[in-house]
This record gives sequence, C-alpha cells and structure tokens, in this order.
Amino acid sequence: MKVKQISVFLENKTGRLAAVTEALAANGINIRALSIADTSDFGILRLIVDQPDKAYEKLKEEEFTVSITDVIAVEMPDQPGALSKVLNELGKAQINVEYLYAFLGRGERGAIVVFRVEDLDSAIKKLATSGLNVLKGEELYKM
Amino acid sequence: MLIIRGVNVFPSQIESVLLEVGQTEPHYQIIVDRKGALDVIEVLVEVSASFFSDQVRQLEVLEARIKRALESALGISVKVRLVEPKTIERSEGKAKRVIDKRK
Repeated sequence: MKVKQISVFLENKTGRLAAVTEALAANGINIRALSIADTSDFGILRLIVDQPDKAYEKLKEEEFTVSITDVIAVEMPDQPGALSKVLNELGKAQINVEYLYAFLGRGERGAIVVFRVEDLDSAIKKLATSGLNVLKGEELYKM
Repeated sequence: MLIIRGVNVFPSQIESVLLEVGQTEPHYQIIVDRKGALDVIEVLVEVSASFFSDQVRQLEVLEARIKRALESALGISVKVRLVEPKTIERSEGKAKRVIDKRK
C-alpha cells in the first residue's frame, strides 16, 4: 500500500531541475508523476518513477540531495465530485493530508491522487475499511 | 573581521553557531552587500544530505533556527539560505568564506 516517492532538494538556481531530469533520462528512468514545492530560497521536487530504488541510487551517485518518502495513492473515477468524496472520507477518518498531487490514468483507469499523510501506518489501516481504492506501489510504477 | 551596520562580525563566530545548531554541513559562505544605505548579510549554509526532509516546514524550521542563533550571537539581523551540498567552494583558508559586494 505504500508508494515510494523520490524527493530532491533543489536550490533556486536555473538548471537544477533540468539536471535532475537529465540524470533520470540518462539512466532510463521514466517519471509517472511529479510535483514541486517551492519557497523563495529552494524547492523540493517530488517524483513517482517507474524504478524508485534505482532512481534513488543514481541520483545519489550524481550527488543530488535525495530521500525516499512513503506516500499513498488512491484511484477514483475521473468525474466531478470524485476528489471531494475521497477527501471527505479522509476527513472522517481523521487522516491529516500534508500535500497531494494528481494525474489521469490511461485507458480504463480513473484519476489517481498521491497523498502524503501525517501518520501513514494508521492511515493505511483506516483506508483498508473505507471502500476507497488504494493502489499498490507496483501498480503505479508500471502505469 | 567585517563591519556590518557598525557591528564587528567575525566569520569564526558564524562557524561556531553553525556547529552548535547542527543538521548542516560545516560549509558556509557569507555574502555582504549594501541595499540602499544599509549593509545586509546573507549566510549560505549547505543542507546536510542526512538531514534533508521531504517537508518544506522542516527545512524552514532549520533556516529559522540558524537565523535566530546567528542573530543572537552576532547582534544583527541576518538572512539565511540553505544551498545544496558541495556547492560552496572549499577554501584552504578563511579568505573565500566571505564575499563582500560593498564598494
């Protein structure tokens, strides 16, 4: 149920983001989803890739400041109200969302939302009985 | 020694504050500039790979903690900026730690 997300520290300098994507490309790593949190001084790039462990190793080798964070992915119908329903369920279960980002699945798949929550293990337990479609890491990496 | 807004500042003071706060690499750089009539000082500190957090909040808290500790030790307000590891020139002496853009 846990999805591995790669986080990279980026100084607010031109070219840093391009340097990360070049390193991933050079190692044949495909990005599935990404998001950037920015402040005036730096950014944190968050990535879901098809080979998270390899991405972590290779980025570390290239001397990027990287870490792996466990997040949760929930699939929902691609229609108005779907996200509201999910967020309401999370609220009812007292699951505190720190951040989220989303992308559309291909073909028959719906929309997928990636969440970082405050207490992951507790959230996973609660989500198991929520009726929500929580995806496994492998499903995401292979999408 | 630098004189910033009339106050004596020794780079070694900054070094000892950073060592005390921890969670960063011991590499720093001081950039002094003048904005209008006021001297301003920015301290660049390398984030530590082992400390790096996915949460913006944690990094901001670290910046704030360093800022408070420096201001308390130096007696003047400073700006602190976290930069990537290995981006600050390693110097053989103290000379390159300070970039004074005034004048």
